[in-house]
Amino acid sequence: MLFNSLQFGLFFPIVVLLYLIMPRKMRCPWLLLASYFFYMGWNPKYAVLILTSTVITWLSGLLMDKSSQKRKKLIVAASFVSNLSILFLFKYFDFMLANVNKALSLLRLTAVEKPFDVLLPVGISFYTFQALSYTVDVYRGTMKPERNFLRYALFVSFFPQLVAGPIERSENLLTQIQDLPRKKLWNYDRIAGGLILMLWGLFQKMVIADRIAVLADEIFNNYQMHEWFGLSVGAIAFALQIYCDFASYSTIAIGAAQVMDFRLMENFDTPYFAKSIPEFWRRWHISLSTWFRDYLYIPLGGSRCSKWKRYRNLMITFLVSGLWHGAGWTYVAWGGIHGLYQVIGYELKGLRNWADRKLRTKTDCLSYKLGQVMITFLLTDFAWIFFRSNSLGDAFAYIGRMFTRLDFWSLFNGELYELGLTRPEINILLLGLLLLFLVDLIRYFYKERLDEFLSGQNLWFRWGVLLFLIAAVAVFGIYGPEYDAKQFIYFQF
Amino acid sequence: MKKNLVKATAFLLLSVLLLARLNGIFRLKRADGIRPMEIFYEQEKDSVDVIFYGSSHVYSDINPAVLWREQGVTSFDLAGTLQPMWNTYYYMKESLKYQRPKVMVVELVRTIEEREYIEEARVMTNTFGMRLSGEKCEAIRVSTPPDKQLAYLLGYPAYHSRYAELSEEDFMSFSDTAEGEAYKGFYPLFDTKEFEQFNDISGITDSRELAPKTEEYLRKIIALAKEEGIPLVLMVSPYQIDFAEEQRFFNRCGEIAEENGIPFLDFNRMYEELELDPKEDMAEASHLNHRGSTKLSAWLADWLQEKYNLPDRRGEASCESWEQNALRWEQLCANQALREETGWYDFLELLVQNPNYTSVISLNGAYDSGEQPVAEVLTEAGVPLEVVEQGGVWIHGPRGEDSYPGQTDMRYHMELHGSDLLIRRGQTGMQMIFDGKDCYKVANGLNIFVYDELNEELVIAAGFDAERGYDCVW
Repeated sequence: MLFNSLQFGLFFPIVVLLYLIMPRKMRCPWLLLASYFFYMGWNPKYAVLILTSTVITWLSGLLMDKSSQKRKKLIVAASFVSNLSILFLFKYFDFMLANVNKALSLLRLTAVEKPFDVLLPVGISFYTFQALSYTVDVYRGTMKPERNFLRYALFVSFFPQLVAGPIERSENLLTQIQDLPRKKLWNYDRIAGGLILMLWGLFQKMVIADRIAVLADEIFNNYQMHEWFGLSVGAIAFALQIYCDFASYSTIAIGAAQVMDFRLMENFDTPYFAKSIPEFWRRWHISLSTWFRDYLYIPLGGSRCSKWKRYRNLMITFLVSGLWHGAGWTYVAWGGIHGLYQVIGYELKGLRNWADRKLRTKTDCLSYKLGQVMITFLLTDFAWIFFRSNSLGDAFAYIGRMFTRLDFWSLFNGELYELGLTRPEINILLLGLLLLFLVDLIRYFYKERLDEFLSGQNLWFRWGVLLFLIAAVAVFGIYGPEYDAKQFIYFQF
Repeated sequence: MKKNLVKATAFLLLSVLLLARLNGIFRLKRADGIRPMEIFYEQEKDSVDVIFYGSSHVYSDINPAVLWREQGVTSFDLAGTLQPMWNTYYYMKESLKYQRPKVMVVELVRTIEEREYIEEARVMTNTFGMRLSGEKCEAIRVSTPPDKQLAYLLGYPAYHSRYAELSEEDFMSFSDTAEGEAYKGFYPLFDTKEFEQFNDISGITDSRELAPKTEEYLRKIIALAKEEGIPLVLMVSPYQIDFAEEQRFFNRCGEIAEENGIPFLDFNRMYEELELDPKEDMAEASHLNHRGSTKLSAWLADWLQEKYNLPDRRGEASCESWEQNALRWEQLCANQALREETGWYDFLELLVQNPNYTSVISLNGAYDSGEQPVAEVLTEAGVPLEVVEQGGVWIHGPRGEDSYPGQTDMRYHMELHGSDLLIRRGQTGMQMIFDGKDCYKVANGLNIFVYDELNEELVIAAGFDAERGYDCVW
């Protein structure tokens, strides 16, 4: 079930209320049961897959204990191969087959028929990576193997972050699960803070992300109908959509976990305020970036090697990261562009510094930093076009039109209101984005999340903001069956 | 701990109040299904002797005011747009928790329904008026696919996105309006569509099987009536049937009625008995207009009274709202007559005879062309002499009267049940503004504004143009 579903609105209070009052020993089995119920809401069959991954990684942890280094390596390899095989089978098999068939058709050979149909299980990339990180941590000795299967199974399947992250590390989440019977759950401020985060996440998702998605979908799916203005709006809309969508899910996950006295890692830290691409990646989907840093980039040699090797490591990491996001060349291209941005950034660093010196540019002033933020946003937004486009060809055509179909009249002819959202919807969206901007500014300058910021304010202000958010989600959130006023018109009797 | 508990409770309470208010604003207030059910709950317990169930063919064709006037029968139209048999069944079950009617009449036009689920909008109109109960849960369960049932049960998720179409009405409670308790579910149509003749279906005698779900619920309806020991009547409203297939479905209903010994009235075979006039009595092909519905309702009043010996409840205190409803209805008919009147003389006569009108008669410019006896008629109607002689404005009605002779500067304001009427001399001349709209129609002639105090509605703002022989201008 999704966080923004009515089912979750019933599920979460029931799970939490019982969790808060039940005997301490029951907490872990109860949350495990709830997590599997949550996951099986999509498709009960998926439970077999997550259970398989859980058993494999749990056993590999146990087997590694007191094993020789050589044997440990074998076990890690076996765990990786088996888990990644499952991931490959369910996520990348179709993609690979399509590419093989494309190659065969070029060679005028008969295409291979699809042997079976598989549905991509929700969250498979997230929990697979989380489970694999445990294997590596045990291998490295930073984590002791967990002997209690229920506790470990809860670590892999903990419902708040199961399907869209943050991808947790065992040393954070597993240790908290081990500590579960000793947790003092009744803490008003903590629970209230968690609920505030969930409310803010719902606002981001339901009021902003799902509304702006209409705009982005219309423009990306019909880009041939739009010119530079519409296409630029589409690109910006998608950048905001994916941020609000993704960050909201993490915010709700962090909030939901906090209600139950779990601290999950931060996953998004005002990424569009980043002043460079490397900084963007320190702020965007932090749990995944650090996963790739710790378990791929550094093992490849990281940056403590020759320049070319470092560039190679960067490119590999970002290409794999692209592929992790989706089985398609558009995602690979998106990852590749981010890798290239960084390689080019390093290469041009000297030139930039030289130019700044020559032009006597002040680098410690607001305008310079603002410029950096804007350039970084434009670069990431450019890359998002590849991420969102339906194919690589579409992405190139989109960009081609965006830079060649220049008609500045569209700035004044009200085209904005004809891109899929009506005028009231655009107004609601702009108000939502303004609020998002303010909350992100607070985060950026005060280093405070919304719950932390509000807890330092007066009661009337805090409650006013919260009631406003409740009303905004209740009224302007996109949920429930689609209401179509036209259906009420009396067409037939 | 205690302080936090108080804080949490207070915040929760505020949130609930906020959401309840939002629900009040956004909930659908449709007269074609939701309101009849809501108002039904407000009827005095066990005061309704006949309940008519079904679709729009009930709420547009059967007028409880006429049944009351004819035989003193208390009846209610508990129907919804395009209501399928399964919703009718649950409306019946729900209604029997509040009333013990002496007869239940089910209209069967929607037995032509062959779909498993109908449009979402109709699911809303046919279930959202019900109070939360087992019947409502069941009604929603059978009306909509499983994935949408929770949203429909809560209601709010289904209509929360109406923010772009909210109107003033959404901020008022239903009982604030004139209809209130006196509303008996009837939704009159005042249009007229002329037909040369009614289609002859007398030759269609064979029948066609009903869709399984429709037949299942028709049989449940019959079983329910038997179980409750309440006489059931099945009927088909008269309409211009274009499709022989529909009549075959109705013939099948007749067979089922006969199997169960239930009276079956197919009014498509009784046009003459009803004295229906195809040129006068239809609003459109599917529904009777106010004249046609009066004929059908009068026939039903007599037939029901005779067959079931229903009590005449005129004069009973618990049935006062039916009298109010009848008065409202008669006033609506009078309003319609006024709207249809285009001659200034007859218009004035209808206007001054009616005690429920607050009216403004404004004599503007060269209002008296001298061609017609305007001044005499106005004087007879009660317009003060100085206004007749100098022109000006005369306001008259149950709230009293007021006059502003001459074309001098004036400013007059009156509040009419939450709406504002402002008469003033503006830069461009006289203005008569009602709810933001200027009601002046002619520069030289009679401008007349009529407001119905009983039904709390604007009847008409008309002008009679002196330059064009007092032609009526709307």
